[in-house]
Amino acid sequence: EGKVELRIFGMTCASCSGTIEREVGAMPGVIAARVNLAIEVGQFEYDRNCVTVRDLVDRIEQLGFDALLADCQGR
Amino acid sequence: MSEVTYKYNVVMSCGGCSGAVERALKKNSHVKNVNADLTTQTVTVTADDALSDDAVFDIIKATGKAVTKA
Repeated sequence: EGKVELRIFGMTCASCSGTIEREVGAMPGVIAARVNLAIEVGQFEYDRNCVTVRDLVDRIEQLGFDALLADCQGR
Repeated sequence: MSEVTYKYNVVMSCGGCSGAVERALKKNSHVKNVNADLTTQTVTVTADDALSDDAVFDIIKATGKAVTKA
Protein backbone atom coordinates (compact mmCIF):
# COMPACT_ATOMS: atom_id res chain seq x y z
CA GLU A 1 0.00 0.00 0.00
CA GLY A 2 1.57 3.27 -1.13
CA LYS A 3 1.62 6.66 0.50
CA VAL A 4 2.68 9.79 -1.38
CA GLU A 5 2.71 13.54 -0.91
CA LEU A 6 2.12 15.79 -3.92
CA ARG A 7 2.54 19.56 -4.17
CA ILE A 8 -0.65 20.86 -5.87
CA PHE A 9 -0.69 24.30 -7.49
CA GLY A 10 -3.61 26.39 -8.70
CA MET A 11 -6.04 25.83 -5.84
CA THR A 12 -7.56 29.01 -4.50
CA CYS A 13 -10.65 27.97 -2.60
CA ALA A 14 -12.04 25.16 -0.50
CA SER A 15 -14.16 23.90 -3.36
CA CYS A 16 -10.99 23.40 -5.44
CA SER A 17 -9.32 21.22 -2.78
CA GLY A 18 -12.68 19.52 -2.13
CA THR A 19 -13.00 18.66 -5.82
CA ILE A 20 -9.55 17.08 -5.82
CA GLU A 21 -10.25 15.09 -2.66
CA ARG A 22 -13.57 13.88 -4.10
CA GLU A 23 -12.40 13.12 -7.63
CA VAL A 24 -9.03 11.53 -6.76
CA GLY A 25 -10.59 9.76 -3.80
CA ALA A 26 -13.13 8.21 -6.17
CA MET A 27 -10.41 6.65 -8.31
CA PRO A 28 -10.25 2.83 -8.04
CA GLY A 29 -7.37 1.83 -5.79
CA VAL A 30 -7.21 5.15 -3.93
CA ILE A 31 -7.75 4.53 -0.23
CA ALA A 32 -7.48 8.07 1.14
CA ALA A 33 -7.06 11.57 -0.29
CA ARG A 34 -6.41 14.55 1.98
CA VAL A 35 -5.68 17.94 0.44
CA ASN A 36 -4.32 20.83 2.52
CA LEU A 37 -5.28 24.03 0.73
CA ALA A 38 -3.13 26.29 2.93
CA ILE A 39 0.21 24.58 2.27
CA GLU A 40 -0.84 23.34 -1.18
CA VAL A 41 -0.04 19.72 -0.42
CA GLY A 42 -2.11 16.57 -1.02
CA GLN A 43 -1.51 13.32 0.87
CA PHE A 44 -2.73 10.18 -0.87
CA GLU A 45 -2.88 6.54 0.23
CA TYR A 46 -3.37 4.06 -2.60
CA ASP A 47 -3.15 0.41 -3.54
CA ARG A 48 0.14 0.18 -5.50
CA ASN A 49 -0.87 -2.68 -7.74
CA CYS A 50 -3.89 -0.98 -9.23
CA VAL A 51 -3.01 2.72 -9.30
CA THR A 52 0.30 4.56 -9.61
CA VAL A 53 1.48 8.03 -8.64
CA ARG A 54 1.48 8.82 -12.37
CA ASP A 55 -2.29 8.11 -12.45
CA LEU A 56 -2.83 10.43 -9.48
CA VAL A 57 -0.84 13.24 -11.11
CA ASP A 58 -2.66 12.77 -14.43
CA ARG A 59 -6.06 12.92 -12.71
CA ILE A 60 -5.10 16.09 -10.83
CA GLU A 61 -3.92 17.69 -14.08
CA GLN A 62 -7.19 16.65 -15.72
CA LEU A 63 -8.91 18.59 -12.97
CA GLY A 64 -7.00 21.65 -14.13
CA PHE A 65 -4.36 21.79 -11.39
CA ASP A 66 -0.65 21.07 -11.49
CA ALA A 67 0.86 18.37 -9.28
CA LEU A 68 4.50 17.67 -8.46
CA LEU A 69 5.99 14.93 -6.35
CA ALA A 70 6.82 16.57 -3.03
CA ASP A 71 9.36 13.98 -1.92
CA CYS A 72 10.31 10.37 -2.58
CA GLN A 73 7.85 7.69 -1.51
CA GLY A 74 8.02 5.52 1.60
CA ARG A 75 8.62 8.43 3.91
CA MET B 1 -8.91 23.94 -39.99
CA SER B 2 -11.91 26.15 -39.53
CA GLU B 3 -12.61 27.27 -36.02
CA VAL B 4 -15.66 26.28 -34.01
CA THR B 5 -17.05 27.82 -30.87
CA TYR B 6 -18.86 25.89 -28.14
CA LYS B 7 -20.62 27.27 -25.08
CA TYR B 8 -21.33 25.45 -21.81
CA ASN B 9 -22.99 26.24 -18.49
CA VAL B 10 -20.40 25.33 -15.84
CA VAL B 11 -20.86 25.70 -12.09
CA MET B 12 -17.77 27.58 -10.89
CA SER B 13 -17.74 28.93 -7.38
CA CYS B 14 -14.59 31.04 -7.51
CA GLY B 15 -11.81 32.44 -9.66
CA GLY B 16 -9.72 29.38 -8.95
CA CYS B 17 -12.37 27.08 -10.36
CA SER B 18 -12.68 29.08 -13.57
CA GLY B 19 -8.87 29.12 -13.78
CA ALA B 20 -8.79 25.34 -13.35
CA VAL B 21 -11.30 24.85 -16.17
CA GLU B 22 -9.32 27.20 -18.42
CA ARG B 23 -6.04 25.41 -17.61
CA ALA B 24 -7.57 21.99 -18.21
CA LEU B 25 -8.88 23.10 -21.61
CA LYS B 26 -5.73 24.94 -22.67
CA LYS B 27 -3.69 21.77 -22.16
CA ASN B 28 -5.40 20.49 -25.32
CA SER B 29 -3.52 21.63 -28.43
CA HIS B 30 -6.73 21.99 -30.48
CA VAL B 31 -8.16 24.53 -28.07
CA LYS B 32 -7.47 28.05 -29.29
CA ASN B 33 -9.24 30.25 -26.78
CA VAL B 34 -11.15 29.75 -23.52
CA ASN B 35 -13.33 32.31 -21.79
CA ALA B 36 -14.62 31.19 -18.39
CA ASP B 37 -17.16 33.75 -17.19
CA LEU B 38 -17.94 33.55 -13.47
CA THR B 39 -20.82 36.03 -13.58
CA THR B 40 -22.81 34.09 -16.18
CA GLN B 41 -21.37 30.72 -15.07
CA THR B 42 -20.57 29.87 -18.67
CA VAL B 43 -17.44 28.74 -20.51
CA THR B 44 -16.96 29.64 -24.15
CA VAL B 45 -14.39 27.57 -26.02
CA THR B 46 -12.93 28.32 -29.45
CA ALA B 47 -11.10 25.40 -31.01
CA ASP B 48 -10.25 24.07 -34.42
CA ASP B 49 -12.85 21.67 -35.72
CA ALA B 50 -10.76 18.60 -34.87
CA LEU B 51 -12.44 18.86 -31.47
CA SER B 52 -16.10 17.90 -31.30
CA ASP B 53 -18.64 19.43 -28.96
CA ASP B 54 -18.67 16.19 -26.93
CA ALA B 55 -14.86 16.05 -26.72
CA VAL B 56 -14.73 19.52 -25.15
CA PHE B 57 -17.70 18.61 -22.95
CA ASP B 58 -15.76 15.60 -21.63
CA ILE B 59 -12.69 17.72 -20.83
CA ILE B 60 -14.81 20.08 -18.73
CA LYS B 61 -16.65 17.19 -17.09
CA ALA B 62 -13.28 15.67 -16.15
CA THR B 63 -12.56 18.74 -14.06
CA GLY B 64 -15.26 17.53 -11.69
CA LYS B 65 -17.50 20.57 -12.27
CA ALA B 66 -21.21 20.30 -13.11
CA VAL B 67 -21.52 21.14 -16.81
CA THR B 68 -24.38 21.28 -19.33
CA LYS B 69 -24.38 22.34 -22.94
CA ALA B 70 -25.55 25.94 -23.36
